[in-house]
Amino acid sequence: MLKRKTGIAFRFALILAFVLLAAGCSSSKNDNVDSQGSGGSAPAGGSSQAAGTPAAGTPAKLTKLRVMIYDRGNAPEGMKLTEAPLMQWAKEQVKPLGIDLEYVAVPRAEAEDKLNVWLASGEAPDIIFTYDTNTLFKYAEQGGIWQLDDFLSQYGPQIQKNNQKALDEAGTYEGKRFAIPALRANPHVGPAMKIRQDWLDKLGMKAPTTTDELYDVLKAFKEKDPGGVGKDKVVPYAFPAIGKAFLYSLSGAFGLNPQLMGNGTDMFGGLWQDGKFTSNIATPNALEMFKFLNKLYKEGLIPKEFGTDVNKQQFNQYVAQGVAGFLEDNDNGWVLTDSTRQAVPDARWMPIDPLKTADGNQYAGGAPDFGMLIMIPKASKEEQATAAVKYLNWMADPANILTLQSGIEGVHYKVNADGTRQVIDPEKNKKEIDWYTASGDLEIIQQGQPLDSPEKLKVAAENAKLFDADYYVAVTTKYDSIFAQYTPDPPTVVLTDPRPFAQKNQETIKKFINESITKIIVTDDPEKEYNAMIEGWKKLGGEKYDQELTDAYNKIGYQP
Amino acid sequence: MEAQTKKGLALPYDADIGATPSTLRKRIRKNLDLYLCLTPGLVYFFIFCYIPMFGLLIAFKDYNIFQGVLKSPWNHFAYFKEMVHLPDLYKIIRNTLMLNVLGLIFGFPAPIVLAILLNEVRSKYFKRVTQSLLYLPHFMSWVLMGGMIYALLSPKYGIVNQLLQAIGLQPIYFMGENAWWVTVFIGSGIWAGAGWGTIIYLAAMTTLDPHLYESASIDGAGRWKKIIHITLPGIMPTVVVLLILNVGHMVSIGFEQPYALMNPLVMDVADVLSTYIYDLGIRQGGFGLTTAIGLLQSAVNLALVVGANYAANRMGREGIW
Repeated sequence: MLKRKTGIAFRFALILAFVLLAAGCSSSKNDNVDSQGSGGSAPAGGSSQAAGTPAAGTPAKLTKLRVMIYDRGNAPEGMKLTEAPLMQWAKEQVKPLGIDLEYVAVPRAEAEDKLNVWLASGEAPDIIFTYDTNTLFKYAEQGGIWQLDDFLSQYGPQIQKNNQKALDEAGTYEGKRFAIPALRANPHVGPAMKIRQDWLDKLGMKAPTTTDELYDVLKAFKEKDPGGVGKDKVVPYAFPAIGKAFLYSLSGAFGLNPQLMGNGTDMFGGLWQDGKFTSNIATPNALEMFKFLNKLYKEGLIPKEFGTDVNKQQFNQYVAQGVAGFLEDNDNGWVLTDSTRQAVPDARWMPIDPLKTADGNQYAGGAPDFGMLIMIPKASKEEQATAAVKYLNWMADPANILTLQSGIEGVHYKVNADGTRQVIDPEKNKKEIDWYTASGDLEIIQQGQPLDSPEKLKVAAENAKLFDADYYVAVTTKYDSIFAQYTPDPPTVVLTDPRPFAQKNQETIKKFINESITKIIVTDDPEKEYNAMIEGWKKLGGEKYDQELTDAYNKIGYQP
Repeated sequence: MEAQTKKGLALPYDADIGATPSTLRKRIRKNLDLYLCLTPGLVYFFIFCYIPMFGLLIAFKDYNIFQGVLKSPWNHFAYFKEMVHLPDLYKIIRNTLMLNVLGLIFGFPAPIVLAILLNEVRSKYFKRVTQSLLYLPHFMSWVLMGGMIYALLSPKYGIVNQLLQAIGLQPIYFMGENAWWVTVFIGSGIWAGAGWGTIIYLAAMTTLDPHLYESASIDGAGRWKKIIHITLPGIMPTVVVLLILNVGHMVSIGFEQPYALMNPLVMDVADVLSTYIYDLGIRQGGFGLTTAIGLLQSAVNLALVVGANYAANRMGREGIW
């Protein structure tokens, strides 16, 4: 038996690696604001400061520093993530700081699971990160990560300067700092609905503003087949398996306020009603949403096979084949169009405003000013912890941020006389840097850049030789405006207390809910399945989960 | 002793086990080469099966990953008490047993039948090629097979459903309906494992005395009679040993196959112990609780294997020991 177990554990790793490589970049639920939002490959314009130059002398003894990096399985032929050009550059740059840098790749979708395994086996890299506040609390409570106050004041002046906003909002546990939160330079990112604008135009329809209108548009997509892809082929609403599907904007349309879902583990968020937190799924609004999805399913407006599309493989295929007309994800639409236009050159995805709820409200789930929480495991020696903070401090330098986000001056871009930056060879950038800089995977201390004015964006897009500069500007500004306009303030409510019940049971509850929602959508009697879900949810301690959250919100004095 | 040679298990003993130390030393000196051959196997089991048993401690401890196994405090069987109240555990065990029992009923005879068929093939060349082709699925990763199965059985694009529709039947959502999913699970298990499983039976058949077949022919027996009266009884000891070993695994189940095939629609039948332990243990960091579940699982398996062996001995067949 034990032999079997060791074997299985070992094979887990291999299999997962395979699954995830095959799945490519799949985003998990808590990760709704993972991508930079700037989406496309256009570098942000602005600063023309030269990237830091290596100092002359290198300390004799280098400290080995291992840094975690997300692997989205998208390395071009002949490239290796941990040895890619900018990684090589960074390694050279930090040598004068006495750091021997090594990147440790972890498949994106496996990252959260991997942390547990790494920490348990004492093999974690010296720099690890998560988006889940609960994970931070858990590790801090168990004494598994370094307290960083002293390190930060001693070795991290630039971090304190650059990331002040983020440091103020997150990363502490019981008043002590255990994580350095990344700065989200542009918080106007998050999940949004996207529609095929070219299809809408062909039908002479307007972007839907309510769920009823959405239904009409989807119906028209199916019956009139504006893309001419074949009536049996058209997928009005591309929708992967529950757990992979984004339901944020849709739940917002049913009055499920996305504000109370920023703590990583709130599972589709919740509502603050009569002085207490109620999980969204347990509110009547949720039943309405599920009934809506059930109707769409029955009428063939979402794919029949969504329940088994657990890797988003078919979802991505629908987009790439140009047969999908509507969807929700956390991109601004540029990447979608870039995929669809290979099959349909005229295809244009556009983000749409949040749908109106029955009482006329509109919600968008924006992001806070902080991003991932960067931690240093206790298993790393003090020497490594020092080097880690030094490395992050180096990374917080504006010039280095720019280089790590968009390439090396003179190699990947040049600076024009008017100070704008121009990509030298888009093909070269595509091969050497875009596949990890576009998702902000290397530069972890600052995610993204503040959004430029439309004029600057246009220049940047033209300099980057994008296929449709005007569309780039339109899609980027529209996406930004959705969050600028409709995100509640503050976008998320940051809790400060660990929640032991949630820590222990959230995955079980989440899994149960995901299975149940799938059943509710495909069943003939959604109400009955819904009641079964609520019953099961209570059995798993759903109410206790909500009570714990109520207490946590009360503790920070939350007022809606 | 006699039974052991009959089963083809060469053991480095030339006397009974209950020997005194002095004769043991003598025997080791006498058969030094054989004992040396045994060493790598023993070392393997020691390193990969006995040393990891130390980790079982965490089933009894309030395991904190940063304090390590030894420093974590004891927790007075809290995990075992908690286990009883896990809402899904009953369902998980039921699924595991169901899939295993069905797998045994349909999957166990498959390689035997296949081996007999192969054994009857006259053309050596054809037999070799067929064998190699049959072994192939065994070497394929379940992840790959899962992808293929999903693609083949897709209600919209899959070839199986297109064929069904071509002959005027309704498409079937194979992977989304409980009963069909179980069928696919068992079927794919047979497809992957049957060919490989023939190896041991074919080996057993080569040890059968050709004279038996010759004299049966002289007595006028046809192929069918020879299979019934010579081949089958001849490989029966092997069948029994394998059956006992299989029964011993009734509460364990491989991880790859269910994990690659499961999806949220069929979790009522597809969630099994291995996937549950993965979810609860690795993904949620519930190492202690899942170790406790694993320990219990091992205990049940041990009981089953001992029971099956006892039953085999009682029925007049030789068990494993």
